[in-house]
Formats: sequence, structure tokens, C-alpha cells
Amino acid sequence: MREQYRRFGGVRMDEQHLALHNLIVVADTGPVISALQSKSMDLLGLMFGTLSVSTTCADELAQHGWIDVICRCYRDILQIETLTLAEHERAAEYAQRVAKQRSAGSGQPMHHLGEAEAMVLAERGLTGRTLVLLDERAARSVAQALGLNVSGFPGVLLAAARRGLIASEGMRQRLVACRDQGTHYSSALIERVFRAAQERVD
Amino acid sequence: MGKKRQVHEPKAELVNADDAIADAARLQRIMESSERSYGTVSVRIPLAALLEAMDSLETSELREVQRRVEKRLADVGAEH
Repeated sequence: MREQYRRFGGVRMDEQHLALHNLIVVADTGPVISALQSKSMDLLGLMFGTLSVSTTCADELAQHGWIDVICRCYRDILQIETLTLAEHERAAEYAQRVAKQRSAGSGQPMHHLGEAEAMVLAERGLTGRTLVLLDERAARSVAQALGLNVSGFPGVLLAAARRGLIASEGMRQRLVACRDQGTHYSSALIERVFRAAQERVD
Repeated sequence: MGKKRQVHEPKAELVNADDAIADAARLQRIMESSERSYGTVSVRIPLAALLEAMDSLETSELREVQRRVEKRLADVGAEH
């Protein structure tokens, strides 16, 4: 499936289309799926230009049935990055760290390779100019210990709402759409983030 | 879009509201810092071309233009 994506052609970082910010943004599978579920890929494209994902994340997106949509609609936003051998080794170590976290869900390091590879890709960039999108608390904990800038998908939507890029009600609907399609954003999260967005917009 | 898709990592604990609010604040700081660090170049284009280009902008893009125009007007107002 990754080959299918390549055939349609991703974009290189130096061909990035105009974004609001010159940040390097690396995404794990979960936030990309949330963006797809809530039809927010164009919003992420507007905010960040391109999102880099690792080959493992691309495979996971394919396994979850999203690769056709990506190829058809978002091939200019998602860019697949390949890790070097040394980076693969570092990702394996980070995956072990994630697996040891209590909130990991699975104690199998191989289940956390996507997040770990996202962290390794984020480490390529300059601190302060790189953001890694992670929704899973175990991976976020490891990434933050590495000194990486982390945000989950709900935080990105809240930032977009606070900048007036989307309305607070639209932000809430996007999170509800994710939840309705199986992503475990709690009702408490959705309502509190909605109220936080309303404090600044509308 | 018709087919049912699997949930990604169903047993993993995801972000909570406190995480999301802290993320948004962090992201705003990073974006503001990124905006400040932009290099600048002067490009001369007819004002009519700029206005015409706005006709093709999407809603979210128009909101960003609006935000920047309001900030610019506030800055100009403060100068006078």
C-alpha cells in the first residue's frame, strides 16, 4: 500500500506548499486517523503545510483502510519518511520505553513502533521548530522526556479554534465525529475543550 | 467511506482535557515564535491582484486573513 501512495507521489519538504508556520510536523497514526475521520486534513495542511509520517505509520494507515482517501485527496499533505538503520535501532529502544509505561495498553514494543518512529523523525528537526503529534499518553510521556514538542489532535483543533481558523462548535463536531468513528476521545474531554475554545472565540 | 474501519490501538489511554488544553497553549507559543522568526522579503504586486486572490480563499483561510488584517489595523491604530 505504501508503494501505492508513492505511485501517486508525495511531496518533498522543499516542495512544501505555503503554510501558516514554518514548522516541521511529524505525526503518529492516531492523530492522522482523527484528522481523516473529522475531515480536518485540509486544516492541518493550512496550519503546517505537510505532515511527515514514518513507513510504519503509513502501513498502519493502510491497514485501517485510509490509504485510498489519502492518495485521492491528501497526497500533497502527507509525506512518508524512511528511517536510517541507526534511526530504526533508536526507534526500537523508544518503543520499549513506551511499552513499559502503565498507560501503554500493550506491553509489546512492536505495537508502539509507529509512535517511536515519529519521535525519531521529530528528533531530526531543530528544537522549537519541530512538533510531534501524538495522542497516546504513554508515547507522549516518552516524547516529552526526550524534550520534544508534543501535541495531540484535540490540542491542534483547540489551537486552530483559538486562532479563529475554525469555530468552536465546528471544533466540537470534529471531535464528536472522531468519537463516533471509534476514537476514544471522552465526552469530558470534548466538552471541556469546547468550553476552552468558547472562552476565546465566537 | 462506507466500510467500517478498525479502531487504532483501542486499549491505549489517549489524551485527556488537561493534556489538550496544555497542548493548545504550547502549540500557540510555538506558532507565535515561528511567526516572529520569519525572514521577510518585499514583493510588489498590484493591490487588485491581492484582492482578487481573496475571492478564491476557503473559509479557514479567510479567517486567518481577517485575523492578520485586524492585528495590522490594531498596530496601525496604535501608531497614530
